[in-house]
Amino acid sequence: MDAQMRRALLETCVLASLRGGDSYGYRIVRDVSQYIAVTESTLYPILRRLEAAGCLTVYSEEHNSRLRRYYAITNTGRAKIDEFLAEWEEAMRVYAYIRGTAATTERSETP
Amino acid sequence: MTKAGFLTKLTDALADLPTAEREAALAFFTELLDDRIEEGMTEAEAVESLGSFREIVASLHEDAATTQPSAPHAQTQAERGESNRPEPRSFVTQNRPRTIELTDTNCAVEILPSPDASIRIDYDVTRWVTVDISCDDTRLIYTAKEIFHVFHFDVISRKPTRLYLPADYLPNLEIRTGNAKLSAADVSFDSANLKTGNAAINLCRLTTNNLTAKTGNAAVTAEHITANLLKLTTSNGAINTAHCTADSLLLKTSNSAIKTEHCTANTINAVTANGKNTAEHITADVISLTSSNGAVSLGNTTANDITLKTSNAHVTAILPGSIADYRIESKTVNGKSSLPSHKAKGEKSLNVTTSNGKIDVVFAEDM
Repeated sequence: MDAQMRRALLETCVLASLRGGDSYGYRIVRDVSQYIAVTESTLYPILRRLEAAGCLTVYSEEHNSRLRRYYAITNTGRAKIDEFLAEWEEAMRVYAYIRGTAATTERSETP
Repeated sequence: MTKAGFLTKLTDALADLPTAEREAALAFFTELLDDRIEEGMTEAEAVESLGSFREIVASLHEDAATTQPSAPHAQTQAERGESNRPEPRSFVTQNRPRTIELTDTNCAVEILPSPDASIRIDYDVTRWVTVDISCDDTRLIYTAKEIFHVFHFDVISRKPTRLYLPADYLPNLEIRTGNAKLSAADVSFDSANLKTGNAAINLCRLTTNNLTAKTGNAAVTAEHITANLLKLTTSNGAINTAHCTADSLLLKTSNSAIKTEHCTANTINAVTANGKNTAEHITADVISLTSSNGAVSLGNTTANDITLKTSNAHVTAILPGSIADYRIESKTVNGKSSLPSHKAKGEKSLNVTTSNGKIDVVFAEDM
């Protein structure tokens, strides 16, 4: 997959994983990697970029006598998800078309 | 590799990154390792599960490079005065950098609330002092340097350098000065590392995650602070802490008294030598007061785990409840003791040690 596309997908995927509620590093990696390959090294810069863009905020809370960093989605982050979904509506239509032409060609090529 | 080994290796590999970036990355990976270890992995397994070390370091460097400040957003200011008399200057910005690094010398520093939404630094320059300021989206750096330390009657001291912080802004503060007072009041921040020497530190009405304040040969006073970690260190100076709420309260000095009152914390650890160590009206899970050659006393304190330790001095305490509530280890030599040296059963833990001094610990319900 194209690197830029992958990055955009990952960023929005991380935001989506926060929509249901605040989460933390390890859990985000686990949740998101069910759908797309992501490691800690990839996740960390994404979280930093999303925070710099105002799409999420970070806070610390105690967990088993150590401090854990939690990430929470912001309204800007929610707007970014909606933007992503709207952009991809078009992409999905194009995908369906391409898929459709591939099927038609197959049919016409069968003797 | 052990967790500590990995983190040390990572710290070294990130030595060229700015402090704030490096610490943020370390905190992130420490947390990930802790989570995996909590799930049952060994340290070695957790470290291995993070993947290629080289990839981690490369992606962190790449990330730091792409979040580099872009010139248009940066403000810089370089000043030098023209006379021996201090001339006032100001720096104002609407930026919200994550970190503020303020380094001054022989000049007091005060951290105060801003009257408006801007960050502001009021400072003096003289012919012998240059001040460099740079500010972008991630960092505000103020550095005042004495070109030449002048011991001259004509030279008038600079007024305290004042850093004004707007509300709803939680930066990381790195503040350093020398031979001059450091004070902060009525502000909130994410974390602060305050350092001076040979001068007092005064802290009041602050809200933060971590606050570390260090000086030497002078007192530290903290009142009405809410923090996760509150760590106060000095030598040859008293530490007075009152009305503070913290997860961890760590107080350390020597040759001076420590007094802690009306504080609530999970853990309180107060250490001194050659000085009294007193705590009153405390609510804590674990509290430990240590001294040598100084009396230790505890009053009106509710805690589950109490350690009182000194030598060549008395230990005095009035504890809530009755002796039945506490399991006890106590020891003194050449001194009367009101406690049994060993009592196995009790919900709370009490550990008292001294020598050449008496132990006078009584329980409110038994009196």
